[in-house]
Amino acid sequence: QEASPQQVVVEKKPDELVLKVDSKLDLKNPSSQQSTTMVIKAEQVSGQPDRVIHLDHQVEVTRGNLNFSADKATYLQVEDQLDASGKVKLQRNGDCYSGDLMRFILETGAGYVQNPSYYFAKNNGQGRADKIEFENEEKAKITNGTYSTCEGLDPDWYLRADTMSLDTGLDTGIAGKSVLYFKGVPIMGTPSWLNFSFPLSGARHSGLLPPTVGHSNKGGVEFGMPYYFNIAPNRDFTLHPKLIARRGLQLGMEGRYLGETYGGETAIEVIRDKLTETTRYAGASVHRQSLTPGLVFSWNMNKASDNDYPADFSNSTTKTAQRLLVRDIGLDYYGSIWNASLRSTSYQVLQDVTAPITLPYERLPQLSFRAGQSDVFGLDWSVDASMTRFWHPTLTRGQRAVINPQLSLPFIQPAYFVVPKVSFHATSYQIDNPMAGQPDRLQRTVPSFSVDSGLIFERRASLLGNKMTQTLEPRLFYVNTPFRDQKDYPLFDTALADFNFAQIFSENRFTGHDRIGDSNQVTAAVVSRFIEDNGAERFKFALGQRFYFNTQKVSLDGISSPSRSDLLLAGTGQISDTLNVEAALQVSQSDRQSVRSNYAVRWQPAPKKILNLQYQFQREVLKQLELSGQWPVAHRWYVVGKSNYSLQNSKMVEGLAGFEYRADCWALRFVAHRFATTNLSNNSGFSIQLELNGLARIGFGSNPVETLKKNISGYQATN
Amino acid sequence: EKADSQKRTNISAEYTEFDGKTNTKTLKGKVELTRGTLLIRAENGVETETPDGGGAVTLSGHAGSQVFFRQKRDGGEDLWIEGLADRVEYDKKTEVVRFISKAQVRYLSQQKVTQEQNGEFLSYDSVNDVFTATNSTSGKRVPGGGRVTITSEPKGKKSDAKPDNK
Amino acid sequence: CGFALRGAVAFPFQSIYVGLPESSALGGELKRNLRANGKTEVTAQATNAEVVLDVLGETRDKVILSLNSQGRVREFNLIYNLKFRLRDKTGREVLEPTTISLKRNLSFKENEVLAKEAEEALLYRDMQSELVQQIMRRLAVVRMEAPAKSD
Repeated sequence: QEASPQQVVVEKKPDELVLKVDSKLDLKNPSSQQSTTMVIKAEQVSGQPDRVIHLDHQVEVTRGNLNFSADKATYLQVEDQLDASGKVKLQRNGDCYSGDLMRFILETGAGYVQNPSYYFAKNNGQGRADKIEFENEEKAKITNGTYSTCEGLDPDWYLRADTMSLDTGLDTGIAGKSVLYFKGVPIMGTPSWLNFSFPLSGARHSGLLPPTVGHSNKGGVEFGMPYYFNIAPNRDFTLHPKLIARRGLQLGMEGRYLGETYGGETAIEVIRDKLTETTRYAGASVHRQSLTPGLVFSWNMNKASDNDYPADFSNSTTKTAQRLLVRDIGLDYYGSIWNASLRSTSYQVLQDVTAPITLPYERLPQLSFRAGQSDVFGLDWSVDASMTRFWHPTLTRGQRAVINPQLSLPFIQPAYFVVPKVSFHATSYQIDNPMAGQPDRLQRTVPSFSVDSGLIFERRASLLGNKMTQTLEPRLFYVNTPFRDQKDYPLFDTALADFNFAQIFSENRFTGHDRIGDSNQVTAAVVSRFIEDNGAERFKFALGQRFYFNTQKVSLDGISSPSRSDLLLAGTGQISDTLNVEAALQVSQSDRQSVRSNYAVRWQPAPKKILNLQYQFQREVLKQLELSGQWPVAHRWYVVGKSNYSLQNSKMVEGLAGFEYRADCWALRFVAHRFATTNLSNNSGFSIQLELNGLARIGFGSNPVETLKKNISGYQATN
Repeated sequence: EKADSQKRTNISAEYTEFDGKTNTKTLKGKVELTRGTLLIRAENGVETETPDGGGAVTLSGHAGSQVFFRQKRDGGEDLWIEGLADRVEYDKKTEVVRFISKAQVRYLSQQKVTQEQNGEFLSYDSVNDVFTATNSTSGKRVPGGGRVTITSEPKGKKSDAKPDNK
Repeated sequence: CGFALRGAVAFPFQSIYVGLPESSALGGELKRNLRANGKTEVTAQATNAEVVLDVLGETRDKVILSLNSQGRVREFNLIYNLKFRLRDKTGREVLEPTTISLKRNLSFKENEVLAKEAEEALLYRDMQSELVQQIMRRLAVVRMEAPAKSD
């Protein structure tokens, strides 16, 4: 029984760097040379049978996977040795060595070629040298040779080394004292003691990752030279040393591991910062392990040494935009009808004086339990319970226990559904430091009744020229929850939820358990989908609104709610297979103005050719236009860009521009970025990356390609 | 093999004709030349005699059948050489055999072919166990005139040959 | 205007095996919906199922959508991708690998991080239900018999 492929992807990474669990080595079958016949051709031959054969003019010898050609050659039968001279050429498994003089023992694969030029089929590697000595079928030693993956006689880049040992068995090439030339200019040299290794095939392999040179307003010129250790098919380690002009040497390390039942990744950066005279660091560690098939232990730890670390050292908004670093460790049990988890979660706040952030509550620990079954004598039941100890240095601290059983009687038919549901929300608080006059114990029980109902209509319709099934799905959702006075209840994990299509069909308008909104309301919505004949959803339009029959008393900010909620409109569609449109709008009924809206258009006429235009609006929070894209502007040239312009305070919040030049055997990437890190300061800079195919492969971590991918949806690496 | 040098060469044919002036003998029909282990069969042949006891025999087949050659070789147990060609020249003094035009020579060890040579001109000197091959019937190499092909079986095969009782 | 109540949804197979572990919430909800119409049996083993649903990839991603003027994240895009295929007992692909990708928008404020965690879970559950509906629609129109052999 073929189980689904056991391949745990630790985190989204470029495909070739995905760790594989199976670590069995596939044994290469040694193609024995002796057992195959040998065919010799030449214009003139002489010699002694079974001892020696002299061959002249148009000589060609083939045996097994070996094929020689030369002007002149002598074959010694007993020693199984072939000496050849004059335009000598040896081909083996696609690799090709040519030179002036050659000696080769066919049986062992040992021998040498004088001033050879060579070509390796696996990764298009080639070069010339004074001499190449074959130790056996897999190992060869090159003296004073060059190596490059560029075609042609004068390659754009090549590595010249006084000694190079190639091992096609281990897929490694190791160069001794070597100099790297790019367009004829020596750009890097390695001393003889640091042997410089490079992969001979595309497979994952220890070696240098493309160096990056850059500059940022936070640290001046930067030079990064990551090195990748392929420890095992399911373990690897990357070293990111980065020299930052004004701050010093930053050492970054990242280890990844993956086993049958566990997987994880830990990254640490440390620097002795010359500017601040302090040691600054940042760490992130993710681990997930299933102790038994149902029990999973996991952690997600993040730490930064000081508030400005990301802003000073990172060149992408994915790091600087998040001021809260989660520290979470926990145990989850997944049973068949129930699951439970014991977690402890807290946050490190990267404080910003200009817009202070309150420290979130720490939940040390939180025990939660969830069980449920469906269709038990026609009933669905579920219970949600949790016990949490909320801790905070200044705000009220305490324990909270919640139990929330729910029972529903679903009538589901293809054409309609009616789901009456009764739920009961019981909470009890135990406050450690109540304010004067406030009770230290609070209980609250709130019953709630809701009915969800809907009809599903269908008809054949055609849109933009193709036949589809159009659905019309009206839906009514009534909720009745009595009022409970909760104004002196603490606010641990509750806030007003976003008003969206997921929320308008849930009972409580608040998230978390500290506030149960009183409600006597009905939500009406209608959804229409256009579904292609293969079942794919091509278009979807939705319209929804909530009607309140009472004025809601439970609120966080004291504003009483109007009789009708905001109106929700949403539409998504694949206009053609290259044009995709999305729109979502929340219109307030009181002032007919939009409270929140997102519009997005994506045009992707071809892979690696994409343009996104997005408009995001949140009343009093943000009003932004974003244009991002990747476009091939000329042969081998790709332009990449993103600009996030805030219309509210008319300044560019985030900008990113770059180009990629892709030659056949190397690629140059330039990315400049500028984004705000606090009200007053921003992080701007650029980085250049030179990728030499086959010599140093694209890694991950802080290289520009990675930031492009995260910032431009739909971006595809061009190599 | 070397022992053949001491043996007498005798030639038989259905019809022979001797020309005293040129001292040549012409043979026709089932010509057969033997000398110790050496054996050559052909359709017709011409034998010349030289005063110092040397001389050469030229044998040729006719349409459809080539000249056949066979001789034992020194340097190992049960080593033989066999050959076919449109025309064969045998020099009685130097004991060099020349196979001319569409020539094929096979070296056998215990009835197994260890090496096979194909070409326009092949020669074998049984005294010194030396062979040559070129791409033109003249025996001289013609640049670009096609190539000789030699196919040799891997030598490791001896062990599995059945020791047949000689 | 031509609309009619939707008729019964009949799957072109009697039994199906869902290749998702017991602990997967998506697996649980999909199995419940497949059983709902009463005519389709969800088997515990792939061997005795007429068709097998292989999940080739289930990834959840949280991408920054927009920043405020201080460079702080104010909106995330929650992305839920599922790549699956359907093959019959002989291993022939009845539905070639199909990717469904859903997206939800989540606003964010640092002071409400705990509440936003709960809201994120709500949005993922909502996407999971929509994913189940879309898988069901794909399974309903699958062609079981092998395509006519075009010689």
